Amino acid sequence: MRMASKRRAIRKVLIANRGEIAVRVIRACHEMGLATVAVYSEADRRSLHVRMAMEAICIGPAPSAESYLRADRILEVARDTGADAIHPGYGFLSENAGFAREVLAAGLVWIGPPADAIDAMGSKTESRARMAAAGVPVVPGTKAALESLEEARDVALSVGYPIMLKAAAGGGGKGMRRVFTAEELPSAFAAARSEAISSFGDDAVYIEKLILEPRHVEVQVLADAHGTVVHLFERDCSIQRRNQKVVEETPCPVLSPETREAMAQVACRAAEAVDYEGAGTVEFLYGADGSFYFLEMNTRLQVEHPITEMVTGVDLVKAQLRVAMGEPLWFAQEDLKQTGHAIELRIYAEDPTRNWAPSPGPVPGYREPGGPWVRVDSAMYAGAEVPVHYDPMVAKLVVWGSDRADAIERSDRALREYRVRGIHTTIPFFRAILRDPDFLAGDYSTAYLDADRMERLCRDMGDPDPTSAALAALVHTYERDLAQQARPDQTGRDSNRWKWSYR
Amino acid sequence: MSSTNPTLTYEVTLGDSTRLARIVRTDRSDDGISRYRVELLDAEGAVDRTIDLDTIQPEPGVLNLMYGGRSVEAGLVPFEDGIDVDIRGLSHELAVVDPRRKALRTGGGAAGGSIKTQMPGRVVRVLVAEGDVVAKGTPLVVVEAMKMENEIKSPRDGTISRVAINAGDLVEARAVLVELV
Repeated sequence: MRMASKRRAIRKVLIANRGEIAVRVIRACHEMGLATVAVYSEADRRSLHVRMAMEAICIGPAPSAESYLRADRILEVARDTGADAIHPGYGFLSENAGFAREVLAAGLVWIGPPADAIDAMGSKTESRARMAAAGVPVVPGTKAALESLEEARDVALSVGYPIMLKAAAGGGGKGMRRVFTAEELPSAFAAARSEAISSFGDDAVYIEKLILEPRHVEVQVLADAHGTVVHLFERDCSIQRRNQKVVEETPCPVLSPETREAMAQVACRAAEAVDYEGAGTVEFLYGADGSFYFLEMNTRLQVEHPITEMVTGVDLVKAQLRVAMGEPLWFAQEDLKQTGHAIELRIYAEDPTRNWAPSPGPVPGYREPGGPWVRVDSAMYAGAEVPVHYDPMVAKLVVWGSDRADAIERSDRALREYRVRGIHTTIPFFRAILRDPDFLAGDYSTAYLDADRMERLCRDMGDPDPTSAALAALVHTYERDLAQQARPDQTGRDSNRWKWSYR
Repeated sequence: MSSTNPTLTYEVTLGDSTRLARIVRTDRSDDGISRYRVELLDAEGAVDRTIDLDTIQPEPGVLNLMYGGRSVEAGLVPFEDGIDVDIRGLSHELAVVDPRRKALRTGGGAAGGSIKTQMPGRVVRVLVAEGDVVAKGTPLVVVEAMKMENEIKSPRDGTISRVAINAGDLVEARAVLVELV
């Protein structure tokens, strides 16, 4: 039994983050009547979170290491402004246990899980061991290096084929071999070992069960300081590009009610095992055969938290704040229902027509979609600028529908309305996904965005319209030249050359 | 007033194709509707297609065009020697120049041999030096933006005649990285 924590008063919250998540947290604080302090880098003076917060303090130059990651500066600002709590958002310092401890040591409230829970879940091997001990299923296999082919045979047999051979010192696909039958094992074992030694100078390899066409399914949990842990169902985040999630939805289109319940129970057990408090996410690999295995726990608010809010009606940021204040959760597990379907599309400042080149820069024009059940979490506005220094995600389009088909239709409609001027975004790419038969059927895995499909989707983004583009460019140039002709005294662009050439 | 508007001729380049077009503003109403007549010319200079255009500028940088019964919204971002037109999220990069002024332009443009960066960022690595012979697809420069490294590759075979940047430099969008002959 845990001791009920004391109530911790919060009146003013410092948000140690930027962009859309800082805006999201500020909104929750203002709804609860809490004062807000934004911190910002020199590149973010014009950012929306700076405009929205009640106080804002510059903490350093543009690079994150000199600003948003400067724990010492952030604590100094908290002291100077009289903030009594710090919300870290996601990324930056959010999963830094050392920072969490410093916040507490400074007498402030940390709006996040206990530092020990962050530590326990921070290391892949430690968290795996702790979860296995708590009865949470982990991907079967051995982390210990295999001594011989005979040992590899035994382990492979006990784990069951197919299996994956992995270099212990490895990464980046080197020293990795997929093995489907016992006959393939000897040559694959030799190949993985020689690749491991040539790539990493160490021939140690180990075996893990190969999960075929896995989906990435995660469970949202909430725990208060009084020992209550609830789950808020799952999110399917399988659609990823370069290990970055791009589309998330809830419910997962292929999960049976039984598996959902089992997965949710396991997630709660995982949270309990590390005495979790606040909002957290337990990630699983979900196999095509219905098996699921613990991947890791994210000890923070997730980027994709809004889709859970849309189907449960629970404001997760307010829940974080209330838990941090020491309040008990104001609902029980049986009060929570999944209603309808929600989809999140992450709008990145990247150009899908030019090999996903980052596309930062000024945004002179911006119009968000509206209408029923459409939510945009972003820090964008007409006149804002996407800086080169940070993550390319500029907005999250979150849409609710009465069922999956309804949510997909509405998402496509919202994308049609969305206008971002000046920079390129992934908006046309998402429209192609929403038309893809496999996506429509809910038939996808983490391998969904492979090279072939990327090419197909990019082709399917819509046809260019060269005639309209030429007409628009002609009108623009004509009006510019006419204006320059009409005002020969003004030093507009090219005006001297213009006069000269028309004399 | 409409009769006093000049008709101007431009050379419009989109990708590999260039054509001439004539444009005149035929009318501008008090409520901000501007009408134009555009004639697209063929290679011989004869009128290939005439388009009557009805436009409004609903917000800065945006043109709503109506022609042939269609309504098209175009986002415009001019840059040094061209203009980027966004239609339904797809970008169209065009150059619109007065043929009489073309002689004054000092090279440049797509055919000028300048390899540019599409995005602003920081030069991480310069992989070639002056005098290097490169094949199409050879990585030339690595530019980092938004925590991602992007390799700028040679668009064709050639020789590097100039390296315009150093590792560590901050570059603007469309800045020249190297010159290729």
